[in-house]
Amino acid sequence: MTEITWGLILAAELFVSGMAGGAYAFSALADLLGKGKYKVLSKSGTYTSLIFIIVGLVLLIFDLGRFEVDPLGMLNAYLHFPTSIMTVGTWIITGFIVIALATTVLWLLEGIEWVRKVLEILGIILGVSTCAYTGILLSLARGRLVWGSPYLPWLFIISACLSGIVLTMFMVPVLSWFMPRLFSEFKAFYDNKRDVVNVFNHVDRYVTVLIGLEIAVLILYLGTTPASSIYYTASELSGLFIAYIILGRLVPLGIIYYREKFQHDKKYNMIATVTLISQALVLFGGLLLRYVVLIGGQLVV
Amino acid sequence: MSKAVFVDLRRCIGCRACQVACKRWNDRDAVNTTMNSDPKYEWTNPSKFSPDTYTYVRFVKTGSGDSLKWTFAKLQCNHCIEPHCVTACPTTALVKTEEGPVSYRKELCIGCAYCVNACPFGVPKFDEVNKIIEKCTFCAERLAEGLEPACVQACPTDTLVLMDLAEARRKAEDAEANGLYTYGLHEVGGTSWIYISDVPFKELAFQEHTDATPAAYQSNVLMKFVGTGLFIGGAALAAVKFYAERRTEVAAKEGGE
Repeated sequence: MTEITWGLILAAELFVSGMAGGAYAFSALADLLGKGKYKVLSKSGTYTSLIFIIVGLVLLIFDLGRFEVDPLGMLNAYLHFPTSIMTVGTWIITGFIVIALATTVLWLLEGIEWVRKVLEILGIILGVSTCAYTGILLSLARGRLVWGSPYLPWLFIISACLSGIVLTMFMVPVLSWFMPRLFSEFKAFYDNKRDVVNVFNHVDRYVTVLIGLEIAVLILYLGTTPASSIYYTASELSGLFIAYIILGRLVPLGIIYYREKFQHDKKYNMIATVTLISQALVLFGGLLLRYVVLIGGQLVV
Repeated sequence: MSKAVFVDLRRCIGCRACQVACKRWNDRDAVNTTMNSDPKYEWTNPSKFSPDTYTYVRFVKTGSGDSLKWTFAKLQCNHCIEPHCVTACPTTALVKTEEGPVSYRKELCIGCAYCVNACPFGVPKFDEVNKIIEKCTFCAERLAEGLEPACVQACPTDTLVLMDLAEARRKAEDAEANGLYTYGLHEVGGTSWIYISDVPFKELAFQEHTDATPAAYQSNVLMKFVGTGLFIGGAALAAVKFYAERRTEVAAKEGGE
């Protein structure tokens, strides 16, 4: 007697919202602590987080499917503060959108620096809370045995931060390709492949650590949660779970590791391209993880 | 005074009058159903909750031959004393009233389906057409008028009896002391529908909830610390930022000197 009420669209919503939170937190930290070295990444992460949190909101509205019937009905979700985690999440995401928007405007206009930095501190709190919210939301759903683990929020936080960092790097060339005039600074940065590879190498240390942490927490989660084997035993999920582990995590780790070899030959263009592929795989893995957890949880009563 | 329904399964004859009364009072459409695929419960029909089925009677065969025994168990929302669906609901569409029902205000529902995933008994069902949830409301509007729920009124054998929650709990405790099985007395902190039976509830396919902690407990505890957590996080980050800037300043000064 299973009922799938939350499907792919909601998995995508959880993924992009968490990723937006992670991207903002990373970009703000890069700005606050990077002594101006990572300005392009800071801008990329801020713009990206705004784009993706709005994408998440649109996905949510689409998934609820009530916009045509009752367009203002969603505002009811603000009512149950602070009792319902979903209401708390709604307020957090709303605050996060406001902060991401304000930071984006300040970056675009090169506005007052100290105001931007204050906003960034608030934004990190709200961004990380957004990452955490998606996992806590599931872990408190007591009707689903497989979600009721204290490790699940941590898995989602780590995964969201990982995806956020990777997305921040991934969007530098993407934004510069699609809007070269608006993002001329990104284009100039990305055209200098040697510097790009150096920055990616530096950031990928954090990516490697986060992938390792994610796998460790995943093992803890699977090892301590009853019936969690559904993720790799259910016929509709096992292939996706394996794809998440191999394509989404192990292959990118391998690429990061073997990239060093090409660096000695100074094949920077090739390295940049392969890195983009590995980043796309990490993002794909993040989506797969959300989907497998979401559907698997609803298959077990 | 909080009300409860005391359900004595030994009395139930499986007439399904409660199912019909519920449909009529709540104006629910008939649905195409099939017999249950499990031989033990094959006469259960309908065999699950749906947006149009707030209650149904499970027909359970135990034993065989001369010892064959039928037990009929009516299922509906158990109206937990501390309901997790109410805690989960972001819009206050679900509310636990002082009279006992977990009542439902459809006009506030946004169809997020969090209650569907939060309910430890799998009761709320998502209506794919109207994009809202549906569930038994304990006929809260009838209770407010001093009437019994429609199903209770229709029951010809007094299997379902409306009474004060305290009295229902006392009767269930007495039954337990006399060797009968109970459900709803301890599960998830207690419910407003309390069952007694001479057949173990596990055999009747009732969900096992060995934990007497209300399902909403963890959520309630966490929510108390949300504000504090956000404030501490903000203060910590500001401190890190201040420290980093100060260190840069000092380094610059020392470099200059």
